[in-house]
Amino acid sequence: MENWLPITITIIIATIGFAGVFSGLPPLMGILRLGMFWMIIIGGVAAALGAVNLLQIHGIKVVRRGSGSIYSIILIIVMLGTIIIGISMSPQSLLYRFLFEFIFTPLSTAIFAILSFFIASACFRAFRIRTAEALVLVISATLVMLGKSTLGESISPYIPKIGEWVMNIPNSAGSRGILLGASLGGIAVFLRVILGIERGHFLG
Amino acid sequence: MEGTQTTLPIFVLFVIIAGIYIYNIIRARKGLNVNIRPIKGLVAIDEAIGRAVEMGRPIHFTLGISRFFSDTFAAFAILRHLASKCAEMGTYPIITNSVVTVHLATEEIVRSAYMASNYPDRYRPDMVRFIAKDPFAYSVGALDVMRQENVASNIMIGTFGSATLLMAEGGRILNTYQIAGTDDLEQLPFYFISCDYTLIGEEIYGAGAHLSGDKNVLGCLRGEDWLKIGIIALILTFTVLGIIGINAPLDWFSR
Repeated sequence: MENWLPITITIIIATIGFAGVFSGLPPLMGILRLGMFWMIIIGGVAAALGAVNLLQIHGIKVVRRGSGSIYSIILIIVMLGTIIIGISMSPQSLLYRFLFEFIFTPLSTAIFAILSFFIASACFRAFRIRTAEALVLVISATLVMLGKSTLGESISPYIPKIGEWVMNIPNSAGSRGILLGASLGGIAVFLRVILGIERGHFLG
Repeated sequence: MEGTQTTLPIFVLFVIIAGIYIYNIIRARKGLNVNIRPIKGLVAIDEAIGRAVEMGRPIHFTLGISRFFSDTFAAFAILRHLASKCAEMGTYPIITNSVVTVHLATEEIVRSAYMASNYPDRYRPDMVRFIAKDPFAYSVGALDVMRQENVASNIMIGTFGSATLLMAEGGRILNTYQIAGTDDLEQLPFYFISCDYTLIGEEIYGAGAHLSGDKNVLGCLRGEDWLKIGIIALILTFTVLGIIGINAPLDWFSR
């Protein structure tokens, strides 16, 4: 019974949100906006708790001097340094922008670049013909890829048309079927939340 | 009240859908026997736990970058089952998060699952870890946790946006037993290629019923089947009406 308060808040906010979206009534929309405002505040507090969790996990690692503790030291220094610079000099300051534009962005781009190798290895595995389904996949994928390039048109004028048909008919039918099922499942979850019977996130 | 006019068909549809769901939830709660087909991906979750116990290694669980969407709630049901089983069987889960609000919820779920088990002393606060908000930074951080902790299995419910393949292929390279599920169509192919089992779309929403026998979810699953039949009938009816030139009903829904 200790969870009655969060469950009640959830039901009230979800009902107001639902009624506000469908009716468009200004008082309900006002409450909804207030709810969104509180969401930002709670998100900010939660972000601080996330940073505390990071410090705890990596702090323990440093104290225990386990494998990879050097990376934990670097993480703690960089995290605290960024926070201090951001608070003391503002996020628009040259040093803060330097950290973001010349350290974070290149590192993020480098990780993104690794994806190309993963895509290549994943494609290689997907295109190994071991089953009848894999054969269908290879044939349809080849036709779609050729259809999207000028090479397909030069081989046969039918290839782009077949590629388009594969995308518009079988592919759309399959994906819309999955989307319909997922949407119905999503509505069911929303309904259980609004009725207060979805409590997994409160009771564990 | 233009907004009311445009949303009226959607509201009518929602009332019908909600009515069907509520009716089936009540029937399921009153003891109606609802049979569900075994979903391989969900059966494989217990296999993943068994594998981890045999190998004496932990299990990694992640909800991706979702922020309290419907798939997040579905993932909570799986996490709850995973944490309870791990507590009883002597292995431990490692949950990495990318969204702080979800991180707090997962902390609570794992803690209370351990407290409700016969071994509350097996709970450790470092089981649930916040990594980073950025999808790429999160994926690299989570993969590093998986490598350092030498995890036996990796369960991913949700999406990682553009970093999905990085996460899935990274887990495969680490030779983990991988189960993934999402309702995001663009990410599904990556999971199919890299994971041992993939939960497709609505299958993740059946997790609560399959793993814990939750009567509310069972009722919803039955309602879903009714609705699917209704939608198929509706599509066929509108198609026939369209062919004979009666478009008014479809126009009303398409406003």
